[in-house]
Amino acid sequence: MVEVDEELIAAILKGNADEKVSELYLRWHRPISTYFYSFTSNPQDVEDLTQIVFLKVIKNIKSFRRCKGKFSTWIYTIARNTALNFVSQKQSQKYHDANPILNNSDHIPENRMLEQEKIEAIRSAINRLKENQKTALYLREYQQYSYQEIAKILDCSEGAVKQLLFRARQGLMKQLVPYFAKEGMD
Amino acid sequence: MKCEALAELISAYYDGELEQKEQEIVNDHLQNCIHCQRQHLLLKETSKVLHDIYHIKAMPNKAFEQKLQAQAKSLKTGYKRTWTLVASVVFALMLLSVTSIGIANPQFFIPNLSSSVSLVMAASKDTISGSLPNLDIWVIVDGKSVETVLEQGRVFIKQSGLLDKGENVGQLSLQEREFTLTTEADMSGYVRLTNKSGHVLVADLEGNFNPDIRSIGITLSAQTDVVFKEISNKHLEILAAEEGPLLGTVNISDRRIALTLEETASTSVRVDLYNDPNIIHKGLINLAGLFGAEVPEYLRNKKDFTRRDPLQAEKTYWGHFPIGESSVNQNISLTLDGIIFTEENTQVMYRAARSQGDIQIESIGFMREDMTLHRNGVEVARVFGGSGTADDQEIQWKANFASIPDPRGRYKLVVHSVMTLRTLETAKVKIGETIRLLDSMVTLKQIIPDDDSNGIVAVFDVLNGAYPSEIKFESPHEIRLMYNDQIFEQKRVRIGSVGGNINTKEMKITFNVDSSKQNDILTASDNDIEISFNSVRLLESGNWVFEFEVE
Repeated sequence: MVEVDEELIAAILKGNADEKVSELYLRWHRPISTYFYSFTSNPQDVEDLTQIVFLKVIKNIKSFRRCKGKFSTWIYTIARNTALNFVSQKQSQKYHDANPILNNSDHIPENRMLEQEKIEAIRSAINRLKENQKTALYLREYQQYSYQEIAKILDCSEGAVKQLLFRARQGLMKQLVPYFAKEGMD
Repeated sequence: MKCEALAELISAYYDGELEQKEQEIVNDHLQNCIHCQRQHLLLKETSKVLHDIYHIKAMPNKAFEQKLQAQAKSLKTGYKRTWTLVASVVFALMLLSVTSIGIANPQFFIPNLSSSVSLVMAASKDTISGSLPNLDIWVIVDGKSVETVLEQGRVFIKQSGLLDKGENVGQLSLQEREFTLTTEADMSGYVRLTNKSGHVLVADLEGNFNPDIRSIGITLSAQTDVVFKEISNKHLEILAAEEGPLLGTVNISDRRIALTLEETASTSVRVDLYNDPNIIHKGLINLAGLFGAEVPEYLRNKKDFTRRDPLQAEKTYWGHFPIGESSVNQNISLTLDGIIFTEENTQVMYRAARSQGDIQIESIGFMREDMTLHRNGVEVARVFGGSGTADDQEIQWKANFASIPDPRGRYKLVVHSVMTLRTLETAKVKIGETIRLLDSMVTLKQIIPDDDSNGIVAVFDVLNGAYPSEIKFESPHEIRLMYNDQIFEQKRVRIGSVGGNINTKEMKITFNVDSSKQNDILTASDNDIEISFNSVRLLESGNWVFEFEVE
């Protein structure tokens, strides 16, 4: 994936823009959108934030240098900072999201419906996580990033990533305990 | 192990991020502990639910895709890698670097630059060539050292901290003093060539300049005062002191620069040639390296360490660093949200001077990209080059973020190449006695009045023709003048108060002695006078990190 991204960027910079820009956008649209769903349930906000990230990527594509690190680290750093700004703005506007994150029923997978209650409980728990816990959880659970990669994006140690994930999961697991009991897993 | 202590490990165990030993501990524990088995199951279940939650149908926006394409087209120029060749030469001939004097960058115009050879590479597979002394190689890519392997006269550039391990990004061929560098990949950075060994007392250095480069700054330091005498704008003489002996010359002819040092056994000269920082974006040439001495350990094994100081949040930020001896006032480039851009109106300034701390900023003015500022984990400011001296007892930096709409966030300021000093030895000497001071044998010859102050001067002969290398004096109380068991403490050894003369091979130490006691000391018998040293020297260097938050 890394090599593909590098090649796409090199091609864009050489002038083969249209096709390569589309490819880069399509490759990363979903991961970045999904990431923002950790911060807001509003699809329009998610789309706006995602677009901001891509605009920044293209606008500053010359600044990205391969020797600076992986493209994925760079784009997630941009995404994370965009999320931080978003959260900061919302807080300063005394904004309270009426809906918990990720609560749009469109986003529930069709092929494997889990009990709505269980999902809502986890969504609610994610909503209460700190930003860096959300980011670490997303990068680990969805992107399967290593602790080392997550540490680079969060600019912290691997030990800190370990702690963040542990704390995040502790919060989520508490929500699942009642369902465990109901399902006879206790 | 108790279950509570294991809880965190189980999370990392689930992720496969434990060391073998820890993994075995968790494995064994899980075999026998129902509580932790349940936690493990719960973890798996949580993960499953998360995967479903993250499974989101987010559709790309076609209109936005076209907008992106249009924006990409508006990129003014194609991708241009800028490999800037930096050949660094540092002359460190058995130096006593107690006094390190940076001469404020004299700059001069080089007319009529031809363009037959360019050191700036514009595309992969480009080749640059030039002529350098017999050097070992360091390759620096964007400030990161890249491992090189020398095989059959060719240097393979292997990796840097951020490049994939073992990746071959280019190769550099050497044949006698000719080099050719060919890159294998699209990347930006610069290359620094540095020799690591040999005692070159007379050195010639030649390099080629990019036609874009219109001026050169030269910085030079030594343990004695060093001045430049500009004979013409193409010829500089480096003098040991005002009207002092000639240390070397710099000649510029068209696009070639030649630096020649006279044979001088006991001086330290550091030379750094670079283009005007104001046109740094057009390419930078540094000629630097080490002649006459091994590359100091601190340059090879840089270690990071962190120091946290709270700073006040305001639009103009000042940080106070306790020690150092350099200064810079340069434009910096800024990054926000991981994006680097140039902000010409933003300036970073720092000053440094010796103080009572145990840390010294070294070479900060001679290195590129030696200071970086981070905000929310992202670099926002970087200092390029520059040098000078300051007498203040602190280093200060200043960054004006007035042009940044919202400066709030967590910042990290990184000062690179900070050296830690440690106490090395204590030595006492009376008049006529000889002691070893680090690498040198010195004899206390006489004590005489200081013409410039009410104090006195202790004059030492340096017997082996070389001043102690890498010696620093801890201040205060590090050098004591003792008279009849009375201690005259040297409150502060200022830069310049310990120094030497390369011709006479003398080292002089000035003491600020109370005028009422001055005569007693000057007329005392040799046996009544003793000087003690608590000398320190370089131990290690690393990055100095300051973190603060602007709310």
